[in-house]
Amino acid sequence: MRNEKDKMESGKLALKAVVIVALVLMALSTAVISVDAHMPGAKAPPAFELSPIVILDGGAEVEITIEDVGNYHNERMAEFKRNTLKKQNKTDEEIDKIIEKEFAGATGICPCSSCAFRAALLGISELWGDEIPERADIKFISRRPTPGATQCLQFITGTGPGVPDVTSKGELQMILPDGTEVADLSVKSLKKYMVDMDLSNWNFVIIRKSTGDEFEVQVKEDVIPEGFFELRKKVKVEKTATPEEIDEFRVQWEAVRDAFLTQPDWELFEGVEEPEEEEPDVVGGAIFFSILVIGLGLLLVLSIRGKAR
Amino acid sequence: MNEGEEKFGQIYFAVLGAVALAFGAAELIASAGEGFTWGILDSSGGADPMFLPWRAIILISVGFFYLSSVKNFAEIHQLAKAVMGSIMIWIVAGMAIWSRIAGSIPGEETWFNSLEGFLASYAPPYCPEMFLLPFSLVIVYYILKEKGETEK
Repeated sequence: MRNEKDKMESGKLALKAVVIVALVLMALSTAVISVDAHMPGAKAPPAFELSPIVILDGGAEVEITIEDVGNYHNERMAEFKRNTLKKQNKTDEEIDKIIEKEFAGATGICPCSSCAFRAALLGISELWGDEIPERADIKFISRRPTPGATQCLQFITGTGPGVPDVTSKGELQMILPDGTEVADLSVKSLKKYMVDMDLSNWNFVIIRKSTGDEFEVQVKEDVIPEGFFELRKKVKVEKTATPEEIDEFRVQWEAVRDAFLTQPDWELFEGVEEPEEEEPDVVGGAIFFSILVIGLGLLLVLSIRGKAR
Repeated sequence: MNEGEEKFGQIYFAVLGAVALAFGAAELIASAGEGFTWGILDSSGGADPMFLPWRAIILISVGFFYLSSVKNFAEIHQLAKAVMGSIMIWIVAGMAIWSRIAGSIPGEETWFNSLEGFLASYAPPYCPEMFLLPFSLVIVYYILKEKGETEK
């Protein structure tokens, strides 16, 4: 009797443990997908496959993934937030709490960082082909004065603060569509240029310094949803958006980010042609197959005739 | 085998031997790298890269068998060399054809291939042995001829 009671007790305990673990996992998973630091409430990106950018730095091969870029962007933004909060006389404990809350589960993969990453990936493959570029041979001209795009390109060129494994640096220049050159690429400085942005800011020039070859990447108009720029200004700059407008902007923000993570180059950028799919050579195959059947038939007839004799 | 037939056999198998030797040498060089595909000729070893150097050795052997059979072609031992070379081609080409037949039946994600997919799997490019196969069949004429003469 006692044995049966013990068994039942241990069974209940195991069941409780399973339920608790399941609840903890559920809570953790919702915490991870609920927040993005740069767009509160944004959903996590969908499953995607992006090849890394491979470069040489001092003879060593460096692989840069979109996740590396996202993490770097997150770190830089957290540091900027920390400095801003310090100036507001917050204590270290308060700052840690705010940052932890705001950046919990953030991937750092936003429309700007993913667009810059895709542009760099495309430009490098166009200018270097199968070769692996030296980091010092890469130059970017960016027309997009946002921290996401800038920090992505700083990470690739090794020109940003705290980029790991940098022995030789590439070059990053920011020239806005109106010709203004922005020398200070800090987040504080960039904020001044982020007020009015349109499609012309979704543009990057990739340069192979050793040969002087250039490749310009311009995002297609249909990638950006209608009203995106106006909504962005209301939500991010003027802060006059209604909750409905914020929700609408969040959906558009996610759509743009997801497009840069999942769509092929020819759907994202101007001047990129869709590779033609090779049609299977049915006629050639049919000819060979017919010859094969006729040949085997003849062989069969000959062998039957031979046996008959 | 009359003199005309012997002369024809000598020239024919000398040319075929030279072609087989050239294909073999090309495949041997190709097997050092990643192989090559030139028009409808495939020496990439895409289906089985381990087999590419073997194929090259077989083709070179075929070339030598054919070329060494040319002198005094009507003599039975010389003819046997040409038969040997042809059989080597039949084995390798037969394997290549069989792998195409076997590969053409199942679909990529289904049990059976579509008609289009089935026919497309027989499309070029082809390995050198498949090009040599129909030309190597000429030896059958000489075998039958020899058989007829022996029976007389």
